[in-house]
Amino acid sequence: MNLSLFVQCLVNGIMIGGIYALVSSGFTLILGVMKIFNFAQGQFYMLGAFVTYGVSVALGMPYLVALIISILSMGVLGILVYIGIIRWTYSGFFQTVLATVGFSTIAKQTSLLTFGYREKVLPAVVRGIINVSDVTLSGGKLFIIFVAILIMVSLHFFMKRKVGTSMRTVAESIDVASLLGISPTRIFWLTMGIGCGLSGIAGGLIAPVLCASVLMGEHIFIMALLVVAIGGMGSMTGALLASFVIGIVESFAYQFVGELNLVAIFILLAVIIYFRPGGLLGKPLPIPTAE
Amino acid sequence: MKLRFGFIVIMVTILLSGTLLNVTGTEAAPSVLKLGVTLPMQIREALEQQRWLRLFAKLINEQGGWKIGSENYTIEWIFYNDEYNAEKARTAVERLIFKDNVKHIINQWGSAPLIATIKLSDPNKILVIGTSISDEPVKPDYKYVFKGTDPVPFGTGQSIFGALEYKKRGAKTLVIINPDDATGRARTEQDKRSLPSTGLKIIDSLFWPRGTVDFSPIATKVKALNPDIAWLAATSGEDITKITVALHDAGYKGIIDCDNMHTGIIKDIIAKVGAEYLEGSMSALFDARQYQKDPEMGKYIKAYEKEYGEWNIEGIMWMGPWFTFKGAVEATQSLDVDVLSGYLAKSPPPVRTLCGWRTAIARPDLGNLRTVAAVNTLWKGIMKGGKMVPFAPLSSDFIYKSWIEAYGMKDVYEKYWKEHGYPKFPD
Repeated sequence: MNLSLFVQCLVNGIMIGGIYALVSSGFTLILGVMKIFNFAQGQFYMLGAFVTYGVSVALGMPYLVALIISILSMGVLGILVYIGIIRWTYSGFFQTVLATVGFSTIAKQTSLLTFGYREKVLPAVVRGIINVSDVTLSGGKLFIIFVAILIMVSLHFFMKRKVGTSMRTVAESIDVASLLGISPTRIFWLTMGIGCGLSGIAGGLIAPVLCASVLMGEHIFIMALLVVAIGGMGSMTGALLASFVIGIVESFAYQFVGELNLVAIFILLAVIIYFRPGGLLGKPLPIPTAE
Repeated sequence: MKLRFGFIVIMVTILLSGTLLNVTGTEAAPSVLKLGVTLPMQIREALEQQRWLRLFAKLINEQGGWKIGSENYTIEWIFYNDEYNAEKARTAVERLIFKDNVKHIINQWGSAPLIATIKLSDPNKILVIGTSISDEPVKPDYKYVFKGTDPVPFGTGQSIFGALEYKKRGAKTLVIINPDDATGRARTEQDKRSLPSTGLKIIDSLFWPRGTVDFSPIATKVKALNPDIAWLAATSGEDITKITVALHDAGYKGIIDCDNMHTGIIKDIIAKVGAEYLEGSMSALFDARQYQKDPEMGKYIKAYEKEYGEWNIEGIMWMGPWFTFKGAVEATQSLDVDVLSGYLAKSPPPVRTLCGWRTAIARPDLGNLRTVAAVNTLWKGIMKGGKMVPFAPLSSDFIYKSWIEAYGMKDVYEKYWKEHGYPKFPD
């Protein structure tokens, strides 16, 4: 493997890692604060791509406007899902899982009926290629990496502010948070809004580079689960780290094993779980013992 | 008493009316001919096939139905989505056969769905006319299965034709890129057998799982291998756009060859990477308006434009099964599956299709002397100034012979021709 191929693979991996980071950060946030597995996380990604397509292509508005609408609309949808579905099943873990699975199915089937199976191709947002020696860097990919990093950095600083502290308090204990005057309901609204909005913007970012497809939510959800498993449940930093690790491993592995590159990721998962059962930066789950 | 008498009068009147209506020649309502198919609705080619099939049915129904034997039929299509997945195709075909009572499955498309279909349909005596790269459907194991469009001979013929043209331009190497399923694997094997005969060297063959959205890793690998030609072969629909854009973004500067480059796809690619990137690329030419001279096919083309208010070409190459079925039904005046199969298996006359001719051929190389496979003709196009323009027609004879020679089957076929005669091609 020569240097240009190495750099090319690295850039590919960072780009797709950035997308994984956005989706899995949202997933991890919801998991960490609300303790629920949002099985519909991938569908917000898919819907975000279609909203971006609809606003920028069908309505002819600027792409950045479409991106903003994508994040806001998915955030609002996330809140509505909480109010309409999750709030009523919150007391039971499995009930909530089933509820999100149900919403995921509804979202996908409704999208199929509305958009059809045909993938929607968006025009390139950032055209042009930068050639550095033998390395080719596409403008579109560099844009995704830049925006993804910007959002992750913003999220990091956001979590350090009062709202972020409130979210961490609720994550630790809802009762203590209530005693401190923090409204768990409002925090849940905010968590769902941000978590789903992150997926929405990920979809909006990737759509011009790849496409908007009704089937795109399923793959990204599996990757989000892998990120959480490798990075550690509830750890945002772990999710961020694992996203880029997975993206880079996936990219490099293809050069050596072709279409079996996902196997490399599962091998990575097995190795990490063996040595660190809680993931890279998470805590191991307590093993229940019979009493 | 009066009430009873009145009731009797009314009943007799009704009965007499019914009888008189029959005597005066009121036609019985036409019977319904239910035809079924499962198609992968996420792919443009399949959606267009659906449109064409609906159109053909509409045209027949509007003329008062299809007179077959002594009965008149209106056609009713039943479509299911198989998502190009064998399990889903099988489930859908079960429904077609056991719930919908369909006896004829026409235009089944793609190796994985077709193979799943025929394992169920053949024991249940259902006529299946479809399209697949895989040779499985044309093995002697099946009695009621036929290929209406067979990508194997025409794919080989057009690959060889294209490869020779690229070689004239100085190309020496290529990388094959195909989906990782039965179709892609079969097509890769096919090209590995045929392309070396042109003098081109195959550096590598790469596969991608169906559903892949990000082709950056594949594009990066292609760039690293640096072939003169990126040979997309069995790739279709929006996957062509995604791979081509990924290759462009990875900095690949060679020729991109793809059998299925349609107008819509070309438009999408040009919007993303510019027209120059595809200059000189060759593909099968699917826009029948650019070369179709047959009046009947011309009528279908006009009817499509009138019905849908637009023109799309993605389905044109794949309508061979419909015309094969239509030809067989009209020749035999029967819908009986055994009658139709018997007719199709014994060198039926060639039929015109939207993009050329379909001639039935046997596969003695597979031990099948029934004419279950097909040679389909097509035109080759070339990208010039952002448009796919006609380059050259490929005749049935060229396709047939180049495929046989490329596969090293000359001995088997020469023996077959001695005993059974050379196929009668119309062009």
